[in-house]
Amino acid sequence: MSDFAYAYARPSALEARPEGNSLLLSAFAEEAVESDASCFFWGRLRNSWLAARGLSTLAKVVASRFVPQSAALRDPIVTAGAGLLRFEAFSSCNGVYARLDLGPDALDGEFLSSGTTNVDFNEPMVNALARISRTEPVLLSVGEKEVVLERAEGRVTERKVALPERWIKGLTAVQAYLALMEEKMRLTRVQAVQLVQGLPAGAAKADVFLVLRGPRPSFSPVATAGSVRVGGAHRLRLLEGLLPLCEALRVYATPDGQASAFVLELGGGQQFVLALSADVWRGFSGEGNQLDALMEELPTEWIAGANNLFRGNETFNPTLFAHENGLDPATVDKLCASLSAMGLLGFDLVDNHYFYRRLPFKTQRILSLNPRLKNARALLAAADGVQLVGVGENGRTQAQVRGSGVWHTVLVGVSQPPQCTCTWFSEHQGQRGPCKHILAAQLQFA
Amino acid sequence: MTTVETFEHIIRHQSGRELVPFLSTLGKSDIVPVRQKTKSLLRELDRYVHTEVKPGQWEYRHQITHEQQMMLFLSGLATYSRKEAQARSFLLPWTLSDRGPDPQGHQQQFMAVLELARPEWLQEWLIRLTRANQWAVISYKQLRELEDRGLLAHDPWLFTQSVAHQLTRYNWLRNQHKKSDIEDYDQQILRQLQNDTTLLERDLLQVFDYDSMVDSDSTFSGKDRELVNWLTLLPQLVASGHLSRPEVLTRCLLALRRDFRRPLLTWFKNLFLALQPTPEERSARQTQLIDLLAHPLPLVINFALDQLKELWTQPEFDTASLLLYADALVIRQDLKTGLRTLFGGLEKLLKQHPTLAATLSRLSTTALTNADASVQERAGKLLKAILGAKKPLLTTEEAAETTDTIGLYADLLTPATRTLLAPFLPALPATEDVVLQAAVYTPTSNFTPDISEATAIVPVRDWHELLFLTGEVLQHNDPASVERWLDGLGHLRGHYPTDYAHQLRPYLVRFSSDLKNKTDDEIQEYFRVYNFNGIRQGRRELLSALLISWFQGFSHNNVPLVMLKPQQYSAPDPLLRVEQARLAELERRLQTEGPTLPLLSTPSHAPYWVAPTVLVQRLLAYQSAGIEPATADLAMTLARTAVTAPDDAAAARLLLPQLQHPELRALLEWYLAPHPALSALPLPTPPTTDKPVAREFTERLSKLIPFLKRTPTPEAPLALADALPWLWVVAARTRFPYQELPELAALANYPGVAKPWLPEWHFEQKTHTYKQSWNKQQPEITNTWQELTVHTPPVPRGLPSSLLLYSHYVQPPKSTTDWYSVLSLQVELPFLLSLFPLNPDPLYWHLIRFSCRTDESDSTDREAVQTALHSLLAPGPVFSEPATLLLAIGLTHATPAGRAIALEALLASVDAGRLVPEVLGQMLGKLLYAGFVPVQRLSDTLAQARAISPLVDDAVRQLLETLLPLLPTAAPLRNTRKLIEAYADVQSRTSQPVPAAVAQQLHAWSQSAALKKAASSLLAV
Repeated sequence: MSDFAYAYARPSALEARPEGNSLLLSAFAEEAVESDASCFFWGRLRNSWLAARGLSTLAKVVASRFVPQSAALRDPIVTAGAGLLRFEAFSSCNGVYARLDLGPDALDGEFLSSGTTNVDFNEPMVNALARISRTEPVLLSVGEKEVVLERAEGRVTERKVALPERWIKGLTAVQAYLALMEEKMRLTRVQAVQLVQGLPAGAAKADVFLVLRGPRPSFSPVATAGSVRVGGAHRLRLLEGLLPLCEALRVYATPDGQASAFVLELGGGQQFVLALSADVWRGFSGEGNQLDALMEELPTEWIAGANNLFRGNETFNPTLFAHENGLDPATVDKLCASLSAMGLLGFDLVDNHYFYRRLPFKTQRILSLNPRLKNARALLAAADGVQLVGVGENGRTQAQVRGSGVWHTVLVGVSQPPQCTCTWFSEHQGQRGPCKHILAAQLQFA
Repeated sequence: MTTVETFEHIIRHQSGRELVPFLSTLGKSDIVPVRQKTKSLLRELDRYVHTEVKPGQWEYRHQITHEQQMMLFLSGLATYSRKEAQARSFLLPWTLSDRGPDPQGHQQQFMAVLELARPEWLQEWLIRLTRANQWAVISYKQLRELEDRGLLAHDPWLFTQSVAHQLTRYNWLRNQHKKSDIEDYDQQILRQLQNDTTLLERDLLQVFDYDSMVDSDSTFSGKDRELVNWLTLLPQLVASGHLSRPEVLTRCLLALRRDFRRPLLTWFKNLFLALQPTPEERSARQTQLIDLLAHPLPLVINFALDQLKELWTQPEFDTASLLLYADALVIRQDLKTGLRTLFGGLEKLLKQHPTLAATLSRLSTTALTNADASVQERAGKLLKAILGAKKPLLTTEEAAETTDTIGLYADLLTPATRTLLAPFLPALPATEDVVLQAAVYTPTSNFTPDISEATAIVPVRDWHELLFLTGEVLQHNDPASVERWLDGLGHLRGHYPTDYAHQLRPYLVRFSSDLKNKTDDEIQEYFRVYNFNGIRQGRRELLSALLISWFQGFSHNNVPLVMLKPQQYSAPDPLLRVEQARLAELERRLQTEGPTLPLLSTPSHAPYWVAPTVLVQRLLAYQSAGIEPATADLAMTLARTAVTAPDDAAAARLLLPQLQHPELRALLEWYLAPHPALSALPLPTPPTTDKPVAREFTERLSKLIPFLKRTPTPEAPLALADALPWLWVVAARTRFPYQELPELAALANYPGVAKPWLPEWHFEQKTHTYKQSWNKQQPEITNTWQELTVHTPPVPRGLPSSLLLYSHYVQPPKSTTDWYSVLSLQVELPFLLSLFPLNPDPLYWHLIRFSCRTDESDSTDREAVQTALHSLLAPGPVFSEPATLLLAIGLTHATPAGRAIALEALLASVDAGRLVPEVLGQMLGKLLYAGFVPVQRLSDTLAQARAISPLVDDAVRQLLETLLPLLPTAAPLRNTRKLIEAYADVQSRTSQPVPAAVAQQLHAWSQSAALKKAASSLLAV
């Protein structure tokens, strides 16, 4: 656990100015902005009322928590680039990921610099969003274009927050899930409204499955063909305020049902994404779905090269990228996994491509944010942590891996999923990523 | 003596009185040595040591005395640096914070040490302590004293926490008085507050700015112990002019804008209301009140709208601001009361400002997406007023847009709103189209299990699959996986690797972490003396015993050692003993090296069917190996056999002549026949049940002499020849659950043998009265509730044979072990349900008897009901009485999760033709008539089944046509209207005439004011 200080030059605010209201979002980037400008975007919102609803919903996600724990409010991060502003945030429990995309049609202004930054979401500013009317022109500023009085006086809005690394871990897991997802349903606005109305009252303790019954979406406690598993479905109530405003709602899910996502097409170049983890008690930051791809340590210069390349491209499709550059798709996958393990990549479901976040390029985060991988490497570093027992049919390798006071039998190979005798594997059956014993065996023998 | 030695001497032998002058003489160079000595003395003294307090009597005693603790704290205060002061263990002793008598003068010493040491970290330390524990805040009096002495600066947050804790401190101070019930204590406190100008002008008003305990801080006054809290004191301070009324009112509203805890927000709301603001005062604060409409919590919005509603019609009211916020309010699904209030106000606004019609119609159409019926109805009324106005209020385009939007949301409208807006809704499809789409639901009479390749269960392939399946079985205990695992254990016997016990060790260490890092011999020794009589005993423990046997090379019979008799805190399900016998047989067979024949009851097809051909083939394999089938295993097999799968049963009958055991062959010929004749049942005689003399003697003796009780030696399994009469009963009751079978009367006079077990159920009203003398207004409270009672006539004690699988639940368990029986039932239910794919009725009755007794059940009962409801989803025969009753209870269950599963079961049963709507209607009628469950739950559940398919509509129609005439006529139940509306809805879609019984009931209900509209409109159709 580490603390991370945001130092904002001034608090974000909705200010009344002679030319109309201005939504000034104060920014603080972990990585210094390369250009001199400290402002990422400056311009008008074409549908300010709708954007305000989206930002309010994002603030609601940030303030929410679905397991008993203290609220840990975080400021959303904004990525400006490729003509889009993407506001991303997690719930305090890290089990809900939300993103508001403001595309070129939603913005009428200037991208002064590409980059990723935290923006201050303070309580008065969030409350003020409700005051924006349907027809009111609103100016949006991400970061500051001009030096403001408070800054000249040297006032800084500084807040200490804990565990920002959880967000980076969460971003890693979310993009990996999003990249695997397939569209399962497309709902109209009326169906979208019916979606939350059909939710069982109270907190959903068991899984429910979204299914279309006639024209009506319903949540069933039983899986049927074509249904979408939604863990902790009551978290969807976060969308209540936006559903009556959407033009359509697309429902996505991973093939193994370990995550689901709801994309609201709000019209006017705006889109809101809400991704849910498999269960209320499972934060995205604890998922190990990227571990397989991260297992193989790629040369640092490869990762650095890819980082520079993607940084320039800002968005890219991995398959097309591999094809265009004559690269093995598996290598591109590993590169993407390595970059996303540092929080550098996000995934856009509708356009089916990655987008780049300008966060610090810290390769040590790959290990420090993935303790299972780190522990697996420690097992390999020990003199006899991993021992080969034999190689069976189809290259299935049996190994003995040291556990806590006991040796585990691990089976790895290409044709079938790996298995282990540890409690973690028995409990999750590989659904939450491999255990450290499997990782160690794979690193050693695969 | 050196300084440090003197210090140590004081700590060990003297008191704070000597320590304070000593600390005042410390020079700069002494600070570090004394600090280090303080820490070393703390390490030495502040611990518990096992001490012999009397000869032979040992206790853990705290080595440090209270005085030493205090002295070491004061030393820390005088010598610690900022780093040491931040340590978690450096806390302010409880007694130093002005909490009552202080005969030792520690508080004075505390202030004296602070004065001389003047630690620069004091403020930071106090803030840290208070943030960690609000109850540890230092008293306001001490804080002010520290501020006055220049020891700390004014910190608004810390001072607020202390002020907000002051009444609790007054409460502690009551202990200083001879009588703790102090007359006029509230007035004394009030006077003290009124005399403190700094408190009134600076610190007290800060409670509006920070989250504090102000909402829960309190004490008592007088012998009646009247509550004194800030909600009673602040209005008095306002009334006496010590606090500014306008400022407090405004600060309340500003505080309500904050993201405070819900109870704190409620407190600010209550304070505002306690001050009884006049309309003028509210009007002057309309901006602040309107700003509250942006709050995330409905509590605040409801309050703000309530305060604003009287102001809406006033000329100075800022309508534009309200409408601005209303735009965001109408899309919120969490607002109900607030939106009803809002639309009440908007109706008035329309009358005053007809030009707002376009804005109001947009707000109203958006509100039609709200799930709450009353919100929709209010919005509908407003829309009707706008669209139906004699003089058009909207332009043609605006009116068309509004009508289009209403049409778009038509599917979301509740019946009442749909009626209101009917003139503006698109026309309904023609009646002929509806008739074409309608269908008639009829239950199916036959059920054929799916015995095919698609449902065939694949056996465990190899050792590795068996090894990892072991982990899954131990972790999840899924019945289907367990059956595969048991089968794998047998057929892979002889193929285990030589080091298999070593590979099983990770699973064994789950029993006890003591087994980590132990040698094989040490683990073997651990399990050699392992006690299998834990407090919780069930199937998981049986499987664990088998796993331990496996580890031991099947050299020990562990399964029979698991104690399954009811004990003080445990009442294992009775059917577990049959399972124990089955597993014990497997354990015994595994003692021989080489592949073992599978258990007969191992399911061959999903979910738990044993195909008839597979059964006969297995019996033939036993015959070839010269093994006699185990009776417990055979009884379970009969219950699991898919006898109603005609093709497979026919193929099995062709194999039967190869079976050489004539009695068993006769049993199976009868059992597997397409239509077994009752007359063909043999007239079996009861087997002799005499126990061996030694066993009988030991059991009787142990009843007389409790200390002779020990783990009973396992009961020897019944030989096949002796068990055959009981097996005939199992077979007969699987095929004929509810027939009289006089042919079996000679066996035993026990329900489930010759006569079926047919429990009766009814409701009994129960009451409980308790007295609460302390409550003068309500000294006696009587609770009344309905209890569902499943009645079984008295039966002779003792089940004739444990093989009578369908009779185990006839005898209810002892009332003393009721709860433990339910607990065992809930845990074992998935396994128990797997035993009876054809006839689970006795199990359902048992479950209803215990887990559905009242509507308010605990989580164990709820989970058991939900598991049982899940079993209704699988294909099976037409629902029997207990299955339908379970479904009825599920559809009206107290938990939304229970109702959701029941709805699925209802839909699945319509698809599969298992539902008998009339029977379900009758049972729901009984539940509702008795007041066991509210009508609302059923109407909500049925609303979700609306318009899914023509078959479901028709089944619901049939159900309601049986149910409605059974409901009370003279005094209709609350929400009966919703059931009538639901019936009207399905009736319109199925285009069936209203039956006479329903029409008669509707006629009667049309006399009731609440039902007149709904009943009459249906009769008019």
